[in-house]
Amino acid sequence: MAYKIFRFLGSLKMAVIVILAMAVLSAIGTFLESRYNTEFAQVLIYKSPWMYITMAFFLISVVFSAVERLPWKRRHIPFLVAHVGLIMLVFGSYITQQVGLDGTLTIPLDGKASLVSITPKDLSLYASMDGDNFRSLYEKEVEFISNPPSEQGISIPTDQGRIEVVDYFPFAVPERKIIETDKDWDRPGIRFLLKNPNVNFSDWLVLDRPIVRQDLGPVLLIFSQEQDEKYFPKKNTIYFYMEDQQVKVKVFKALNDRAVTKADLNLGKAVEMPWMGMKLSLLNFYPHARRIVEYQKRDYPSGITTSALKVKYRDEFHYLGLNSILKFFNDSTAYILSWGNRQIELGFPVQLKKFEMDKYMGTNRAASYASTVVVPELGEVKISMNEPLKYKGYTFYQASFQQDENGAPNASILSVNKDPGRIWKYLGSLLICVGSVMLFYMRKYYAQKKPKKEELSHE
Amino acid sequence: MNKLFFVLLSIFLLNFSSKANADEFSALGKLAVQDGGRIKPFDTFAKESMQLIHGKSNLNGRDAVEVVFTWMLLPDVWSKMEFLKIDYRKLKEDLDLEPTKKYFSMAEIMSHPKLPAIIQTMNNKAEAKERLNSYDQAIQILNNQLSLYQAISNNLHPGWIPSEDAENDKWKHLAQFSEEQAKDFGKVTRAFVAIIQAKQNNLKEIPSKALDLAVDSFFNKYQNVKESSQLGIEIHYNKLHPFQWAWILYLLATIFFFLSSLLSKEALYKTGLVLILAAFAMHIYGFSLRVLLTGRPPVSNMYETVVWVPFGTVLFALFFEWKKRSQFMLLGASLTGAFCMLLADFAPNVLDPSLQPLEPVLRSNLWLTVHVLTITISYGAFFLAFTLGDLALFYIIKGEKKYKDKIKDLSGAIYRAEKIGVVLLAAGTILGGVWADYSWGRFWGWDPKETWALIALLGYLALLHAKQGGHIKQVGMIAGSVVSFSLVIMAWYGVNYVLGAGLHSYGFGAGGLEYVASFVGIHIIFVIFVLFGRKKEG
Repeated sequence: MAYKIFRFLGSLKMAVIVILAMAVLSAIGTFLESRYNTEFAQVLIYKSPWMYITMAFFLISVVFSAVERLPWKRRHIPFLVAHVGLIMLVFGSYITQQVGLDGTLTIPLDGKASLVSITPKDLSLYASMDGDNFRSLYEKEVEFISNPPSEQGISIPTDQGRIEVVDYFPFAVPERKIIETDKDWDRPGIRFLLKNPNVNFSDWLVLDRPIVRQDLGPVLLIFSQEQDEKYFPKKNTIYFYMEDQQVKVKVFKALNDRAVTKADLNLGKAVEMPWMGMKLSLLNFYPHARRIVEYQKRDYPSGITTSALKVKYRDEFHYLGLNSILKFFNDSTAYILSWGNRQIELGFPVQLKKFEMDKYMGTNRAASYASTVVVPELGEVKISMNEPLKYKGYTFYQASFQQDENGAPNASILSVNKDPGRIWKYLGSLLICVGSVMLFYMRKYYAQKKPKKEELSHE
Repeated sequence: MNKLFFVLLSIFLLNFSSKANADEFSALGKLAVQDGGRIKPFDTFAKESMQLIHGKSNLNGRDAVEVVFTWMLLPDVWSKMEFLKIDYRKLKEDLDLEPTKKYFSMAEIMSHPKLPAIIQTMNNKAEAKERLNSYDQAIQILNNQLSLYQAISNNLHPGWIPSEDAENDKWKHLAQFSEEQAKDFGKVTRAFVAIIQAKQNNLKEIPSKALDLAVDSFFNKYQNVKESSQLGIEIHYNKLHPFQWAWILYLLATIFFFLSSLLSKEALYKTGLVLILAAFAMHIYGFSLRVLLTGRPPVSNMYETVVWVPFGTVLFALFFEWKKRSQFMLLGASLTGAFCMLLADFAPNVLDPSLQPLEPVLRSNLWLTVHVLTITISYGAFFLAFTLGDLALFYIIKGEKKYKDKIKDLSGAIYRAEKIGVVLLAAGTILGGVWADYSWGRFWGWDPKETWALIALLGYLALLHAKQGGHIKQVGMIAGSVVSFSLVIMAWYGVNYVLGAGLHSYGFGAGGLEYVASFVGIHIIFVIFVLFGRKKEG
């Protein structure tokens, strides 16, 4: 029986089954990637137990088929070369996956960066009593695609209640809102309207800092906790402030510190502005307002989706987008919950000096791009597409760039890589190519029992 | 230009029965224009514009150069003519257009009250980077058609004269011309109109020489710069249309090889050989010109690979035939060649034949070039095996015993093609890893294009292992060569046109899915039919 199994594991039948299984799995992966995204395909197929089991059977098949041919003869050489190459290739890939580094480094223009972002994601909780010093309460690698929060039951205790991750949205669109609460730590928020026959502008101001400023161009808006008697307007200013739970407003003309208008601001009552018949009125006033981001779940990814977590704390639901933080307060403590890609410290800074983009003549289409970076010891180096920088065991490739609202690049994205398995993969590849040529085209040569010379000498 | 010109021109334009001889205006094609990130002859620009807007490069037999040039001169007349092609039925219904009608007038569509909303919806989707379905893509095409026509007829596109400002590489369009430049361009226009007048008056002597001179002097005065040095080659490429010659010759070769396989006459075979060699020469000449014009290997979009793959097919077949003569090798090759080249020539909306500049990742890199060339040429070998497999299935239906020798000959040829295909695909896939490693430090990233190349390789490896182990016999091998080619089609076409994701996103396109799917489906049904039909017989 054992012999039969042994025979089967090394048989061509087994080889065909394993090859087809790999093909089918990979094909499913490409469809998942097309429908969802790369991460889905990676987690559910390419780096899933299914793939690892198949690869294990693949290795077993290759090794057993070689063992079965023992003692090896001259005619086995092509077969052995090709199949040893396969083993080396798989081995090299395994090393890369275990100890290699593959991440991205985003460097702002004229800035520095040394943290490489890699695929695994961590969920961490920090707490602070004084708002300055945070200590870590919780840190865990999380993967929600194959292991949704409902199954993991992530629940982190705090001094007042637990923080629970209740849901995971792989694709979601953020929606920003202001809500009214009854919590003392939430500061006042107002929604105003500026209106004349040509202009109709309304927006929220929330006092989540002592002074909030919003520059509208011709006029500056200020919302302050308390009145600053010495305020000097460098430009036209509408100055909102709080006094005894009442919203008040002062209006300044540029370079004149005497307020033109000074009024209590109440809902529904309009205040005349000194410009172009403009009227100011208060649309909403929340004594305790909070800016929140809610995520709307989507079935499929698009250019505006990101992934998000739904978190429950003290009977309230909060949303946490990928690579962002969420703040919680209670009477004594501030908490920060963060969820994002793990960051690896390079140990040296990479500074972005210049980012260049060539375009095809007369168009906006990028023809190529390059970053000039500064690293310790080497100084200035130019990294362009297909011309990476090798430094301290890492290789830096020009991968992409970020743009500001006007489309001008404001950060360069490098892909950072360390691959100790490379040599095995290259060697294995070489053997596979040589081996398959030998298998197909030099079979006759190797099929001779012995080299001709010896045969002759026998006669 | 005076009013009379316009009146005459209008009469001429509306007079559809008088078919102009394209050559009279061909001098115009020699002018240089800047469009799509490069300098091209007006000849190419006009053909591409007509292809986009009208779906053909001529309008009722009138050459693109003449038609597009008059868009600039007489936009009002053209706007009322029905030459804007809208294919997508649902779009026509949504615009309340007659669904069976093919061509519409610009005026009718541009002023359509429902159009802005339809375009806006599509733009919103595109901006949110959502995936566009075929309906959205049809709107996108219509939008491109309208904006191109508007730009041309308003003299805002293409660029005609390099900017005086050295920093600015955008060429000046007609509306930006200085007075002197406008005057010089007017000479070209007048010469053009003079020809039309002469034709209108049925003059014996057509003043085409004057147009030639006007064009030459304009070109030498303004356009004679480094970037426009290869325009002559491009016009030659457009005029000769070498790939058309290639498919005609391949088709003829196919007929001769087919007759030779039936009648076993050496003369037929020899004629076929001459024809396939001539076709091959034209084929090579054609893409040599493309390489010369683009300065890169001819495999960076779907069209170019559809031309390159049969090159591999014919190359391998000629090599095998030279080593060992077979009855069918060259028949399979010429059939494949004719099929692919016909496809390339007759599906310009799916396979874009225009010469395009490259995306950043694809620029000048040895490993890139080598891996793409290796993988695509392996598809050539598999295509050969596929065509031969089809022929073998055909003989199996006709009688397996009766045609035993022919089937054996075919299966030997299939095996030879598959071996070289597997070696090249394995090498190419690995070289792809080397390129990826060299370019962004990742040997294997499960990118759909590379993954499907691997899947195709695995498919053929399974086939060869099964043959080695005796799990499948001759007929299984033949059926396998046809079925496995579906994997190649998926890797070659499907990833770009069906999956549409991943790093190799440069070659993405749309269209033709129903034809390709039926092609694959029919072959699989054919194989099943043959396998089952055969069992009953036995």
